[in-house]
Amino acid sequence: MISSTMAGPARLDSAVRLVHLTKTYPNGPEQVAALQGVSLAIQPGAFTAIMGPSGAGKSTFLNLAAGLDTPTSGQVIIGDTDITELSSDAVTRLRRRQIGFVFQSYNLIGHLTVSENIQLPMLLDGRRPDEQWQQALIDSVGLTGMTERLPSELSGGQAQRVAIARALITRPTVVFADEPTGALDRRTGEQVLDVLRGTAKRFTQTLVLVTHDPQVAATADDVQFLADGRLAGELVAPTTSQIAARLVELGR
Amino acid sequence: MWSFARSAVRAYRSSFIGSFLIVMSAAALLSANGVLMESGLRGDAPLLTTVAASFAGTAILVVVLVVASTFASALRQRNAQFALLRAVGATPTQVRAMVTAEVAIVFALAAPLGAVPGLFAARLLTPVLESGGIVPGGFELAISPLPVVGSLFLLFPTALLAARLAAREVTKASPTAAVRGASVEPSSLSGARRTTAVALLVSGLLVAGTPFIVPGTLGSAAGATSAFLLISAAALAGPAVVGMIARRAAHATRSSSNAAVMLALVNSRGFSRRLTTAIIPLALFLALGTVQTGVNGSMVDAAGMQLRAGLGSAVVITSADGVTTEQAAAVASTPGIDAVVASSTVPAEVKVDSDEDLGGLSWEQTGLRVVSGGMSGLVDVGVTAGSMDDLTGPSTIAVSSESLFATGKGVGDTVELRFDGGAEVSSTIVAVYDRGLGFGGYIIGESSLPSSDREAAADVLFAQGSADLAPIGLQTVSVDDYVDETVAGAASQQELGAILLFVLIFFLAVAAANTLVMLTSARRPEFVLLRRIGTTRRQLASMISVESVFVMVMAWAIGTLSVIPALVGVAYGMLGGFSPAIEWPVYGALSGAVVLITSAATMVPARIAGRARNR
Repeated sequence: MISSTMAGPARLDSAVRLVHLTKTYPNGPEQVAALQGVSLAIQPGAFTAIMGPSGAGKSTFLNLAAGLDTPTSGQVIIGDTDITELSSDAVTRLRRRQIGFVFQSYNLIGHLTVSENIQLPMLLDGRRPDEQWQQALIDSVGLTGMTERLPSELSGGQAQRVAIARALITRPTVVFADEPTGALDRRTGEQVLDVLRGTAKRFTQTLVLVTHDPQVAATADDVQFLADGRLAGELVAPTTSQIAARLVELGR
Repeated sequence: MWSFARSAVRAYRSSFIGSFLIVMSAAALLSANGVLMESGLRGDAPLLTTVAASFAGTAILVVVLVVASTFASALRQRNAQFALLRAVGATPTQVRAMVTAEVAIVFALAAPLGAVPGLFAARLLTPVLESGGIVPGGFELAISPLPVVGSLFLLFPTALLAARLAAREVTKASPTAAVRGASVEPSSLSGARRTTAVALLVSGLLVAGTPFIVPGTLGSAAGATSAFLLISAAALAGPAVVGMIARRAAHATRSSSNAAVMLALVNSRGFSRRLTTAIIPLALFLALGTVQTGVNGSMVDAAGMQLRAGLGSAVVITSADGVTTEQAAAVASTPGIDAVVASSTVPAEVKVDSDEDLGGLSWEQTGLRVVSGGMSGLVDVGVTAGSMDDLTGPSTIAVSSESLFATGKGVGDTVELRFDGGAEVSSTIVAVYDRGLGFGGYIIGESSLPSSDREAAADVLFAQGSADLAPIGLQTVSVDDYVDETVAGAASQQELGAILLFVLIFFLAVAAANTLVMLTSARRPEFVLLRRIGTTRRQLASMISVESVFVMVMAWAIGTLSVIPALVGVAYGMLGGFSPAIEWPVYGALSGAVVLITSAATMVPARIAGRARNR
């Protein structure tokens, strides 16, 4: 879908590859499977939307793929590293270098300014962000002139823009976003999504987005559907109505 | 409201356990102190009343500060929750009522659990009281519910006030502002708070100067309280000071690439209020221990110095069982020895204040130094008015200038004395002298003493010259040896004071550790969030270490700075020098304890919180 001749962060066949990913949770004496044998490869620079009814395992999927949780079995390969083989601290280090994450609830640190929040993954990694890159990013997400504010002085949309800039500052291999517009009204949500999508496109950033909004998903290069912890098909460059129809089908 | 409060107690278990422990030990401390005080008043043991009252002053100050800061920090963590309640429709009055209910729940459970054992714990002190000569042998401490009631009366309003002040920020603001502002703390101070801090600072410095104007122990005791005024000033100004220093430090290390240091400093910048509540008890711990031991130490030193200066080139003649009148006469007739003064100490009560009788309080328990023989040229007590030679007259007394301070009395006035046998004597002041610490507050001629109270043997003889006195069963000691011996004896008499001080600083140590544990445990969500955005456990641990070093250094600096004026004043008042009267071993040990408490109380809960998974 996206040609590999573009200057991506890494020239690999896939930015993210999931191999037979399974996650079970103990529930009394039994095990409940949240995810069962999911395999998927996401190409560098692609914009993939993950959809599915509530309880389909979307959040589990995202948390496993982003290294926030460990799978019961299976592999998660980011770039060319299998993170399931790494120690917890090594995963953390890889996460902050190669994975960006945009949470539904912003997750900004309240007593850090906007620019400090954005720089945080770099600082944690012992690096100083490139001034020009940071400025370009801040301009791109529309936060010009707000860098000294505290998160409490921002609107929800602005806070999520900060979170987007924070996810992109390290030029990660992949950015995961977990319903990033879920807490925003439609108009602000659309703007924030435009920012996320536009910035990802501008900087050829691989983007994996969990959403329940067909309109949002329709702007993706492809849409993967999840149901009952399994992949339930894929639509390439679909329309909103195609997605909606598919969701209704899955919800049955 | 009660059910809300009950579920809050359940939900915020760790911070309630902290408040619970502090209320319990505060109640125990105050009720034990109350027992001593009440027993002193009822059992007619005036010295016990004096000791308990002087301890109560410090203890109440410390306990009030600690209880207030514990409740403040326990509730501050929950500002977000209160803000949320406001947002869903709780009125400020309801939030206040909830806070009151929670404080009441903690008190209802914790205060009796502390105060009642405290009543009986006071009994553990009886042996020390007896051996220190503070109460007669076989003395029974009076146990009544009064101390429990008294301590509750003091603690409950304190805690309530602190809790309401902590919740005030939320109840004052509009609900939305409250929700927004809950995650950051303003480091700026309100105008009233700033004014009070400055006033405390200025009065602290002025009070520290008291020893330069008022002589002796009185001035020094007043001067020593300046440490508390300065600590209180620091407690009020804390958020601004801590915030400013952290801001400076964060700015200075801006170019450093060490994320842990950077995070720690911006945390300190953002949570200067929270950190102040952790720093102050630690600073108080250091200050209290340093100032009390410094004052006691310099008092003993000053007594030794005065004794040495007053005795000059005399020789001191003693024996293990005292010096009998016959032996004294034999010494006086020994060739090579002249000018002999026999000296002994008789317990008595003195009423200097001629005001109405205030129960047992206007009679002060003291020891009279009884002398016989002419002192002139041999013992120089530093006479400032009158003459010691007049002590030979009937019903006369010499009084130290310190004992007369603020009574307006002088030579020619009278002092009421009451002896163990019940005899009351009204003595005329014939001399006023300076070296009261070394020689005692009152000197009386043997002839002015009721005959029933005359001792069979003198404690020591002071004399001039030299001779071998072994044949009559006496030894001569040099002044230096005698002074050293007396000073060592005086130090051991402060045993009770030392025990009470230890109890108090132990309470402070518990309080300081408790506050730190509460604060660190409450940061769990912050640690989880930091882990999520890519902080390794090691980085989290070093961030917390840097923060605890920051707390340590601030506590140490505030504690040290707040005692220096007091100790310089005390050193001047007692010893006439300007180098601060610090007991270095004690100061060192307390500084070590600050480091230990801070590291243990932050690292352990942080380790537990840090184990949290990153989602």
